[in-house]
Amino acid sequence: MRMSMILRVAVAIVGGYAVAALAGITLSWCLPWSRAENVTAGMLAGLLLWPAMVMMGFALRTLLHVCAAITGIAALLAALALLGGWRP
Amino acid sequence: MKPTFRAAMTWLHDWTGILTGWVLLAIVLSGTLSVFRPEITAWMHPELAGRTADPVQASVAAIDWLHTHAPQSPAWYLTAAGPRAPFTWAVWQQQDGQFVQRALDPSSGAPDTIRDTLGGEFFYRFHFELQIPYPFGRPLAAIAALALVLALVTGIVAHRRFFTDFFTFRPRKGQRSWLDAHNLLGVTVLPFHLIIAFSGAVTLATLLLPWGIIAAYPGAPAQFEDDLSPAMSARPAAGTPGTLAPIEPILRDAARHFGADGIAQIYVYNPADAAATIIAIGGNGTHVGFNTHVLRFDGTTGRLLADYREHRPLISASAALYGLHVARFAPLPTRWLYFICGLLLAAVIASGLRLRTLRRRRQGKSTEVVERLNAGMIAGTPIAFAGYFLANRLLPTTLPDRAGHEVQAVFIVWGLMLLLAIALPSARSWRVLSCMATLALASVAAFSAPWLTGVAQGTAAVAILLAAGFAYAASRRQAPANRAP
Repeated sequence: MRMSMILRVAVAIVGGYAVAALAGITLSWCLPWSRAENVTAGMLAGLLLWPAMVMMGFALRTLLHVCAAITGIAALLAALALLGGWRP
Repeated sequence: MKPTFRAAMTWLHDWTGILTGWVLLAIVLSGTLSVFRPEITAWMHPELAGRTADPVQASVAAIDWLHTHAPQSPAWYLTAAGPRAPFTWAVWQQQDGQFVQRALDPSSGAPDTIRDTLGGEFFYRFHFELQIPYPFGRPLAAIAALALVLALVTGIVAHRRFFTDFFTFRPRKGQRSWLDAHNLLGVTVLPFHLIIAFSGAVTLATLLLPWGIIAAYPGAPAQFEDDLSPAMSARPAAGTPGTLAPIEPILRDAARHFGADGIAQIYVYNPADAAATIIAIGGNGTHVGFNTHVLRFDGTTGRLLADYREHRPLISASAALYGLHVARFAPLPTRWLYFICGLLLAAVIASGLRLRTLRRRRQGKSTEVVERLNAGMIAGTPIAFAGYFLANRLLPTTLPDRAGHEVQAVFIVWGLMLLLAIALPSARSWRVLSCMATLALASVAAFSAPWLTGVAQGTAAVAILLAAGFAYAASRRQAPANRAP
């Protein structure tokens, strides 16, 4: 396996997990229902997002595109969470 | 990088399958057996064959026995007897803190007259803990579940002609036949496979993605469990001794609340304390959602403290996904469908693993080591699981730590089969292991004698059918494409 492929695997899995984790945090702070419901929705969304992000990590043309996409989505989610009142 | 989207997804499908195939196979097979968890426990207690049990009376007997023999345990966890299980399944802690799990006699409440075995609990636990030391097994199983979701979704993309291929099966053509079989089985039960994989991840979601809990409940993540199931939590112990109220009226009261759903589980917390708590969890007689009706009683007065029924849409949806996975709601025909779909999923994984080595062999690459390991896992896992059933009948009933030895038998057989498969050339190891699987499964059918109960008949029928499958595999001449170049 070439180095770029190893990097792509790492970015897709680790970055995908980070997006899933951030989605959980964002939804737990930004949804309008009770805390337990928001957290549950966030976990379910995270479970869907992780495999989706891994697929995206292999579907985009270059590693740079993957990094940009994952960073962008993560930044968007983090911004929403901060707006919702979350403080890390 | 691969040029097209489909090529990239095919690559991902192949690698996900290769890296997680063996683990998934073990998880899928043990999960498939877990569909019949109480039935397997019943098979493994032949001394209880033909007995029937009333959930309330059996639980009263069990709690009476625990009251005398394990008053010091911080909690007693009971799974009530019922039409599927002529015993109470109990978990408690000994004086030294060790957890004990036993089936308790439905009339005496004692474990003494029945053999010590984990029964179907072994497969159930292995399914999501993989016999790996706490806490590593569960996250690994959760990741495997998501890997299965990924493999299924990328498999759909990789699969070029989804519907045309469905009607295509080209037998006796080596690699093509394996591909056709892989596609046919995969597509047929795809909705089941997708739901079972995703809902499997849902059951372990709090371990895999706890970040929302940590963010929303700063400093008190345990509060999430309380919010999720408000009646489920016990009161803290008072520290002063107390006496448990008469248990039968409490359980009758609980049974009245649950109605057609029935009592599934009873937890007694701090049984010898003034703040003893009794939690009763309703069954799934009328709905899919798991643990959606919970009662909490004051253990010393028997007063109902909380009656919680889940109505929040999102939590109900999550409980329904959980319920779809554990299939407690399922009547017998549905459970057989679960079982068959589970076996088909195992077949999809096994054919996928086989396909990979055949393809590489055709490309002129050596696959001998992987193919030997394939034989060891694909044929060895059923042998090891059959070995569990055989150990249940062969080990003396008076053996100390008998249940532990039964579990050891599984891993000894598994290890031996892997060693054998590694030692032999792959074409031979497939044949030898298939023969041994036939023998082991036929023995399970024989040990189901005298085939009087539905459980014995069902077990024998499944074992015979699987044995026939392995006998066919062993007898078949290797197709030319399967030969090493």
